[in-house]
Amino acid sequence: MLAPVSITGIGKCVPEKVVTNDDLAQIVETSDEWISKRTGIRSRHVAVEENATGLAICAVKDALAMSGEQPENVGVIVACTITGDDLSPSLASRVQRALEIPVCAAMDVSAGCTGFVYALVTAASLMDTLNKDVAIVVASEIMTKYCDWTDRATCVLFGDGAGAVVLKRSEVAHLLHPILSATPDVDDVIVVKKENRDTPFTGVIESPRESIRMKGADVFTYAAAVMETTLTELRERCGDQPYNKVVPHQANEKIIDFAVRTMKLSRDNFFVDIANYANTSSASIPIALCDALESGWLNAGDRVAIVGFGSGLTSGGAVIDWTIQNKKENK
Amino acid sequence: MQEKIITSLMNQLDLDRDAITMESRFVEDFSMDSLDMVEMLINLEKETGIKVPVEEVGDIHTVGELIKHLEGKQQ
Repeated sequence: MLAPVSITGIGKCVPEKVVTNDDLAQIVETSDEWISKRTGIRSRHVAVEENATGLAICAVKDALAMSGEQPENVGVIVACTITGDDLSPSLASRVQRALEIPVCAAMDVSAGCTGFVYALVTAASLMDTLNKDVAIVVASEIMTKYCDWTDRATCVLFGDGAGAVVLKRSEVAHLLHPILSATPDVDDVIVVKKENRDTPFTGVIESPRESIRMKGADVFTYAAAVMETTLTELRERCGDQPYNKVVPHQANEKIIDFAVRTMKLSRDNFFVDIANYANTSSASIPIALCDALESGWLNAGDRVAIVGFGSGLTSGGAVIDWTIQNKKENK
Repeated sequence: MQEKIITSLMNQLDLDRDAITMESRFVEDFSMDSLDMVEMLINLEKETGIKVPVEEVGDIHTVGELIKHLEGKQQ
């Protein structure tokens, strides 16, 4: 069961270096026209000096500052990443240390690009189970370290970044209708293999550097199906108070356009910022929520559906009754 | 079958009816890429109930060829 919570703060952090499609055309055989027409992507942020931990801490500090919450009040930290800096400790534990929180529950979840939805639901569930009043949910990804930079079909698709939210127990529930799902990926549609290491008992293991491998047509088919089923289920669960906005995982503009047509909604109902970030995996939804608020597109009183899909094959969604006023509205 | 396919293409690509002929080529005339083709097959499966794996359309280049292929599968 989810604790009744509202999102009281949000933050994002992206690497300083911006790589445009034209820049990529210097590395692999591609062009701005080819990439933007097929994906909607124009540029992406790429980590040079930054790492997943640093981006996460930066995003969390911004989210906490917006919420006005003191770090010592945080009872739960749930981080999600598939590209964390350490096998152990968890990214959540790294964030806890950086914020100097003496004691709290801290853990990571891994659900591919759906990670933020899983982490959000997990955090609100833990707040209920552990009777905590404040939680941090943070997603941070350095996808570009796992790209095959000779494969023009995949390396153009990804970017790096982090996004975080602060959840606070509230009298009325503002995080509603959680959906978490997974379908076995029997065809290895999206895979990022980990390096294999030898031990004295295994003999020498040849373990080449592994990169993101995707079967584009299969990913599109899966994504299109779960976008439709998840948004439809959320619509049904909302009853006579439907969501008026959608912040989807930013993987490919064509997938979002498909959902727009399928759900018979206006494109204006969907927030799309993939042009500036590419696919930042689990970080894409909180980064998009952050940009949606900063741009004035999202405001207190909106009922927003979030929907994600990713390796696993995972999918998920939820409805958020947004309570943070945007600054444009305040002016 | 023919009308279902044409209507589906009109909706997906925001085309007028007159813009679609049996000789229309997906890539050259409609600028469709591989993901557009996948979306088309998803839409057609919804409309007709006929599932066409993307591998099957590698040699299909025109609207007429697609209609023929789907009619063949229907029988």
